[in-house]
Amino acid sequence: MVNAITTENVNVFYGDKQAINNISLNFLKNKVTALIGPSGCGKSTFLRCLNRMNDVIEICRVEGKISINDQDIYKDQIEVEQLREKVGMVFQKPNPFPKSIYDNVAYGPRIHGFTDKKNEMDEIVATALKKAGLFEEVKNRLDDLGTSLSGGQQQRLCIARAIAVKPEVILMDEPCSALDPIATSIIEELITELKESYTIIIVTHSMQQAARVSDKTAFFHLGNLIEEGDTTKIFTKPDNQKTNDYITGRFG
Amino acid sequence: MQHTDKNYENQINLINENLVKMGSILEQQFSDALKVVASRDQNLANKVIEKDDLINQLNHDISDLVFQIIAMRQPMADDLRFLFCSIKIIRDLERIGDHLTTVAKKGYRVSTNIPDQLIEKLEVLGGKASVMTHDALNCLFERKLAQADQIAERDNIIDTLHGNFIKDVLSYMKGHDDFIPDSLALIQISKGIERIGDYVTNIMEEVHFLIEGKYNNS
Repeated sequence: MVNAITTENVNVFYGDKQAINNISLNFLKNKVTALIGPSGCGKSTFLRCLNRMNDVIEICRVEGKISINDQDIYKDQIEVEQLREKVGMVFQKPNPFPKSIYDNVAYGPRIHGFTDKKNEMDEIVATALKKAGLFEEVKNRLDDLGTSLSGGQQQRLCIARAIAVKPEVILMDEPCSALDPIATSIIEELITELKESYTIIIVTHSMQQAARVSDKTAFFHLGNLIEEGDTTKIFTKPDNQKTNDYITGRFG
Repeated sequence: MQHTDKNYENQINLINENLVKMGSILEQQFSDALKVVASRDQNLANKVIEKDDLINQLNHDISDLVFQIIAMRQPMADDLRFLFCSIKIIRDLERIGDHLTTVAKKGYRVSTNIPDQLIEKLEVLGGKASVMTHDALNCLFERKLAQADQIAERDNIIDTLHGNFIKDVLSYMKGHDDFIPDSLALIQISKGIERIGDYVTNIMEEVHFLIEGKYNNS
């Protein structure tokens, strides 16, 4: 088992307030890891550390070591653009650019200078859309606005946009919370397909979703990592009483 | 800690209460059925037989409620283990009820001319199984792992006593042709009690799973 991301003694502060307390958690390559916990437990904050999304928050300070391929993403000479090429992200609400479907997917490959050739870019866009399970639905209207698609399609467009730059890791912050059950099922099935090529880390409030899609689950509470382990174990016989109480709906 | 959703908490509690109810009815049935064997009291036998309907009703009530909770609540962790085990335990409890009915039905018809020694041996067997059942029901509600495993092992004693009793009855039958129907009834009673031991063992295995999340030796 190879780790895609390793984290050691991570502390995160928003000003004086500590949001993450000394968390060390590794993410296995080609596995889906779910981060669960009540609102304010630090799971999204922790997720956002993994591609330095917290950099834009002025009062936010990250301590500890987060490494991808043994490279410390906060200390080594790594550009944030370079990092986000490796670690893509999909957000809670689908947020396609106000551009065509084609340009949404081609955006990343263009800024990273993947190719100047139209036919090569066509291929990149088609491949990403196919991987995101959207190609068949949009192949005849690639020039339509991304925002003209349904919610579920927009979210798959965002996934296509994320994978077009060939990342190693995809972070998903509650990717289905704005979707109906059918669109959710499509995304969940997609997650299972995508893990063959990528490492996926998903934050979700839906315990059932975590149980359905993830191989590993980590439970956060008040900025602490309470328990992590095989998803089957976490949802049937967790070791920690707090984990048990949370997933059975006794607090949170 | 209680569930945040009070309705859910109440539903889980209701299952537990119904399990307690089922257990206490069975304990009463067990004690009465053994008295029937000793006294051949037909009225008491009828009481035991009538109570079987209550056990069957509770079996269905619990089953319906578990089914509903699984559909509506998607239970997890200790709730899931509890519901999963409950559904299996009530089946075993219901079967125990059936065997006690058999003990009572056969018990009051046994001739009073059967030697007391045989009846006493049956009472010893019944007594052991009855205590085992009582301890098992307590263990189900107290959820103590070591106790569950220890109680399950007592089934060996029940099996041995049953085996010995069959031998005794067979040798008695040889010289007493007139008492063959009564002897067969005694064998059926003993067999019923032996099966109860098996069901109690199953229940203890479920309690082990309930506590540990896996079966003993699995």
